[in-house]
Amino acid sequence: MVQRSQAEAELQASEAKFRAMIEAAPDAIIITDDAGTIVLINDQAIKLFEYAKHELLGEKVETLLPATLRNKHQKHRQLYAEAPKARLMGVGLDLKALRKDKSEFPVEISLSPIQTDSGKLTFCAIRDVTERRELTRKIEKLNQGLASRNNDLQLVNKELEAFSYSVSHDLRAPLRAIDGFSNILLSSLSEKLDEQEANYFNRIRAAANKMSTLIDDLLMLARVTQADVSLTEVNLSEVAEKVVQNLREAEPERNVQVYVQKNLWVDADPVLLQVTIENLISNAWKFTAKVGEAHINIERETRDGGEVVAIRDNGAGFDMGYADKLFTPFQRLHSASDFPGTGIGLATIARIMAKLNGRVWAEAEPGKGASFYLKFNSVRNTL
Amino acid sequence: MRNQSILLVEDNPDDVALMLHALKSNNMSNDIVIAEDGQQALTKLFGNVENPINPALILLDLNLPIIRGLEVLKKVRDNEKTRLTPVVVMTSSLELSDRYSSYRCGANSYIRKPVDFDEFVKVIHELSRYWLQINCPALDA
Repeated sequence: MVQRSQAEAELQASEAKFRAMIEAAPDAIIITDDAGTIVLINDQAIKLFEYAKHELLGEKVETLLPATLRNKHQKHRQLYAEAPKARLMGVGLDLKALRKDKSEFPVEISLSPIQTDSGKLTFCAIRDVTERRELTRKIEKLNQGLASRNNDLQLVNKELEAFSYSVSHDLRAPLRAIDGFSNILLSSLSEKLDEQEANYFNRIRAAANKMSTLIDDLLMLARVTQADVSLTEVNLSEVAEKVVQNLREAEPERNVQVYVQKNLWVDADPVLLQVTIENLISNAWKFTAKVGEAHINIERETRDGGEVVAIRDNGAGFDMGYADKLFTPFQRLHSASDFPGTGIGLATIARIMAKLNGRVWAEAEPGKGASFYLKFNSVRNTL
Repeated sequence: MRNQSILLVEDNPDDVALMLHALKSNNMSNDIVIAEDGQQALTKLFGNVENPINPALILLDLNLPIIRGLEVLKKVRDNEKTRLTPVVVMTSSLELSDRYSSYRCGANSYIRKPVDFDEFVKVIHELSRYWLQINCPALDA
């Protein structure tokens, strides 16, 4: 007798433990017997279905299903009872459950068989997936939006390419005519023209050429934006030396001291790096035109804890108050009569450096020169 | 050889006038045959006409109506008569792809027409030197 009551007590204790575990579970849990009758239901499930506990205990589990699914569910339940194993219910189907107030909601249900002294039971964990479904729907909608935007972008890109091509061909032809015919007239009329008239002809020509440069610079900016980047190790020093050599040949009368540190290897796209270095050295060359002893230095430095390539000059410089405007297209910090330019070069460089996963910034002081810093993925000096 | 013609394939009348002026100021007095589009150029070269021309040099714009410049270039290279005729592509484009495809299609040279007329005249001057070279080959020693 004593033994039996002890065994009963142990059983009761273990059942109490089991119930406590079920109650503490974060999911709604219902346990049914093999006839589909609800024998246990935790508070989460009560909350989920909005019933009182006593209203569900002893009821068929089909009470919690939309009427249209009840028959089918009964059959499925019988099949499950014949070959029970732990699994998700209705994988790939949109399962629905029914609250007391007859409203439906989407659920995910996992089933596992439990063998007990009082027979086979089925353990059902039920999760309300309304929020997750909503999220999935939102993500799908966002994805669709993205796909359509991507499509739009590709179209715009194609149009832009066609546009640049047309600009490159068609916009320059009239300028060539303006400059060419003014030039021919200027020489054939030379004896009849007074100084001012000749000056006007020259202004027409200068304007046409200015516009031609502007078109070229704009096209370069557009091309850089569209360019595919192929990163590889490039010897920046060699690129720089070639640029300097070209500048010396174009303006042999200028005497500029240029120092280029040897073998500066950087991670870059060769074509885009060429554009960047050409722009920066040409700028340094241009802005040192009015100093007695012009210096340009290109070398590796440590800045903000990283290796950078610095391009310094002792030219006109600029007011640091405008430093943030420097890389905006069409922003010029000097008058055209002092230093001609289109104000597109540095914007192009900023775009290139962003494409190379790098950065460009500048420091300067008016009258004391400017320093431009290029941060690449890696800067290496083989010497 | 000296009096052989130059075929200028150019649809823009302004460019034609400037080109003629530049050629003249470089003392190139050859007959210049002008074709205003690719179709005209092909007809003058290969068409069933009374006097199909056999130019010593072809100056070719790329951006042409009806038949584009590169198509003309391909047909010129495919034809036995003009297979070896020097072709200089002269165009406004700064596009690298234009330059590459011109050379791929068999252009001998590629020149970007400058906006600055002085530069334009210089380019034609270089062209006339090239012209002299192909017309007056060095004598065998």
